[in-house]
Amino acid sequence: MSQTVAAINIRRRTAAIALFRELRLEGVIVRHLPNDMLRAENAIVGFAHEICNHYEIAIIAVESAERITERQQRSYRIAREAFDDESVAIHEVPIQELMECYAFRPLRVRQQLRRIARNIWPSLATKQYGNTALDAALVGLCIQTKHLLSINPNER
Amino acid sequence: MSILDQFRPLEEFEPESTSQYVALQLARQMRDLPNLPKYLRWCETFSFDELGRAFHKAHSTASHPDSIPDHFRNHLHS
Repeated sequence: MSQTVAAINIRRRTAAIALFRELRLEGVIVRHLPNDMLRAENAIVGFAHEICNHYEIAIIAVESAERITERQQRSYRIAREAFDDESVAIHEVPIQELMECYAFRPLRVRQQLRRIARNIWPSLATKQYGNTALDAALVGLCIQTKHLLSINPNER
Repeated sequence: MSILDQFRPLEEFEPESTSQYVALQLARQMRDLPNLPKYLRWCETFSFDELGRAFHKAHSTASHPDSIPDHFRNHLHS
């Protein structure tokens, strides 16, 4: 119940991890990635291990990789391998599921999702965090809520 | 037709807090009424005030307000 869900989003030059405990967004950590791919991969591995060492992570939440660059595909693969090393379960969410779960009438474009994220977490609507953090938080809340609602309250 | 099908405004509802997001997911679950008690118990573990406000906002112009489940109507009027 009190374990943390960590949602990760990776772009070309940034990686963000949003940490949820119950319904609270406990923190968002954004790392800038080097342009060099090898150094970027090392940074991602270090980031993943650091998060697992500092928090009791129950689930890693990640948006399913669709229509992303080859560099991003490599980055996500590296991140998955790092989390596998830590024996943390990874739960993927397709973008279509996100579009459907943040409004009763399914959203059509990612900008609509991000507008909702800015309303829910105004503190993330700054350049300091950017879209990487917003996208990570959206995935994290989706998975965390599923996780919470799937726990039988009689067994708590 | 389920209860929620009568609440057109819910289709325009977008969450503005994490609790409202959970309320939205609960509203989806209410379509499966046999499981409703399980999810209502979960409501009590979250901020019920926020959940209540979310439902109130979603249902404020409902054509049949009496159709709001007793659990939520009682809370909104308390």
